[in-house]
Amino acid sequence: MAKIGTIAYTKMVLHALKYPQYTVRGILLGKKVGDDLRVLDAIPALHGGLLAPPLEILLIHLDSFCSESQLQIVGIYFCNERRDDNSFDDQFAKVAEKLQSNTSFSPIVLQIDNSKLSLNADSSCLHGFTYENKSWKSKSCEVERSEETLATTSLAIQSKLYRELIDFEAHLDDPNLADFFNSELNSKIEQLL
Amino acid sequence: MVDIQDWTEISYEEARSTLRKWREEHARRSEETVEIWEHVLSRYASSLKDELWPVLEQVAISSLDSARYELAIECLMHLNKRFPKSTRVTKLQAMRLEALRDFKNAELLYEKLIKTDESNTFYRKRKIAMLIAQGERHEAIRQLNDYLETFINDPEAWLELSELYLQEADYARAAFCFEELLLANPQNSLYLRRIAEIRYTLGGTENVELARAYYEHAVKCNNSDARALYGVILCCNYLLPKATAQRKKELGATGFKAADRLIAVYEEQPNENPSLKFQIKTIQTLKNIIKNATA
Repeated sequence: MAKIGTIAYTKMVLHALKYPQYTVRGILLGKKVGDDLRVLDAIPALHGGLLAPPLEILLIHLDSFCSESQLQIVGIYFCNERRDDNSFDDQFAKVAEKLQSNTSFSPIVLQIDNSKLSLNADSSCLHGFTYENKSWKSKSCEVERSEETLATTSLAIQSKLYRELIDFEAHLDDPNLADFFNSELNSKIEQLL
Repeated sequence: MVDIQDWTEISYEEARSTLRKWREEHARRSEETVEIWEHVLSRYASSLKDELWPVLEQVAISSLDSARYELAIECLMHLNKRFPKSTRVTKLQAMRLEALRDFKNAELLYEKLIKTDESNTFYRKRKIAMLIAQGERHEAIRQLNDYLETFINDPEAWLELSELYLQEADYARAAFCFEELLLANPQNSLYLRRIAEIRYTLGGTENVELARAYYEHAVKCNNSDARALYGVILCCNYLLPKATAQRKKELGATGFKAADRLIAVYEEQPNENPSLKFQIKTIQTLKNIIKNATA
């Protein structure tokens, strides 16, 4: 069972809200705990077109980061550009397929459902997918501490915290936006909990 | 460049110049534009004098982009009163219909507008934008290609077309759009970087060599372009294993130079960066990979 932590959930939503006119994509960090895959953080990566170089550079940074922390790359997330577009991001999912070979568990793909984004959401906006028999199949995922997480996300949106989020592409275009791990944002989200 | 996060308390002068800057750059900062208008500039409407009208137009479009439909109508009413029977205001009314997803009537209005001015590119592009909004990507691509046969020098159209091709994962055609853009603007580092990234994504030695050349050109245009510097390193890394001994030396030197410059760029940044040491370490790792491949 995939379990999505508060910080990961909130950051994914904030990323989608920061770039409403683009497809957003990112990498998920977490760890396997028993039978569960815990998704603990989301690293916002791209807004707009899917191009290899920024993604490769980010993955190199993350490999470095993961070797020093307890976290692993456990999957990817994406949110389509148009509200009524629920298609699966096959191209980006190929990145997750490659992860399969590096890990002992099946990586997860999370899709943010645009139509479920709301200021006062009462249910998760995520659809989960895992890789089975060479294709991506729907798999349920649970948001940890669901009520508090959704409330925290609402507060984060109202406080316009998406303005502070830095995705990796923004960092590449302006290295002065230094912290694509968004550690300050992570702290603020924790404080809202 | 650290941005303001909260626009509600800025001064009148700051508000006015910020909105003007965004008008000139065609920046899409709709939510913030609405915020600046509502919290600051709307109170000084009379001080704006003639500048009020382009501001109202800008706020109208930003409101539509932010689903603030009543505010858009307010702006349109003021504009309509001042400029009755104006095609520029009619165009905004058509955009409002678009925002409300009344595509049928929006299209009728654009067709009317096109009849008044066949050479106007804006109305034609809005029709294509509506196709994109409805997910009719193939039709949008077809019509955009048609449009570009007549209006061949429209950078915005080429950029949009390349975006559509990227969404189709048709990287070859996306690259072609940038080749057209570069013909007219050979020193535009954004185009150079973009085409480099598309070529790299296509993969294969030939494409990555091209990517490397484009990236290096971008670095020549702007020595502090981190994205292009990273790109040079990636390309050298990719090309090294299959290169001849002589070429390995060249690629190694190029990659090293880019990595050193990139570290300098990171160190030059004014903002405090808690991850600086870590990021530099990663670039050093890349340098080592290059070093090992050159040996």
